[in-house]
Amino acid sequence: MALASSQIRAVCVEANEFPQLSNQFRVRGVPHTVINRKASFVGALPEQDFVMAVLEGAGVESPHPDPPPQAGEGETTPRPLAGEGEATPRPQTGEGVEGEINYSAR
Amino acid sequence: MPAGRRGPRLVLTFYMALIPEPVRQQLKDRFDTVLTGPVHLTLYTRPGSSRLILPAGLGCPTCEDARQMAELLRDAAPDKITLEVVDVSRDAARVEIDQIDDAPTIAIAAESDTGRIRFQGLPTGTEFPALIDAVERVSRAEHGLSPESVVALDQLTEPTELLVFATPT
Repeated sequence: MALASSQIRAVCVEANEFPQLSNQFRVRGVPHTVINRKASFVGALPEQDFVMAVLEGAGVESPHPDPPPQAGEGETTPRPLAGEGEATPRPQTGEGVEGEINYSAR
Repeated sequence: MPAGRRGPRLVLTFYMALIPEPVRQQLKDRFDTVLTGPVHLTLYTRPGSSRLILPAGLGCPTCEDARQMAELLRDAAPDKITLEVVDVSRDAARVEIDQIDDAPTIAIAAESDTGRIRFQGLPTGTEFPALIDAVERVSRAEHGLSPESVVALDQLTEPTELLVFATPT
């Protein structure tokens, strides 16, 4: 993700080696991801959910997972809803992240 | 010191070679075919530290092993990988500019700038393949994300730090 965005600095922290840092962010399970030292979530999320969690945690207002649709695009190529023929349904915006991401105070 | 409390604990790790020779050869063979572009590693360390665990900020029980690991990566592809070693106890300005929390830290970059992909602590166990993968992705400039994710990440306009806590097992 740090390769895809020049704004991102990604640090993999060995949790056992830095117990003070782990305690500071209340690490109880791994992987535990902390965004800008404010928001966090536990576990490995699907790519789209991970991106959305990072955007939300970074304070992006109304983050969207895809570029804005062009006029008429939705009429010609509608995105199938869950259970309507898509083998691996993609969650709608916010689904899967909400409830897992934990905006904890420092 | 309270009764029954022990002094500094000796960490008994890595008395053998950190990475066995067959794995080193495997790594060389893999890097020969996979790496395409240059990779610059920066190791932030405290040279001379022993494996004794001392009060915070003084000791660095894994710095020597991290140095061996960084040199292992460089020696696996010396024509592609360069290694710079920064002594955090002597170069406070560099630590502040590069925003380094602690040592050892290995930063990975395509050029000689500051790497934005970092491993803080000794990346052993399940973290070692992640380190190798990061080196390969940086060399090949392959982030592996979908076009939709790349477009979504363009919404980031401020520097964003991701700390991912992991364990070797």
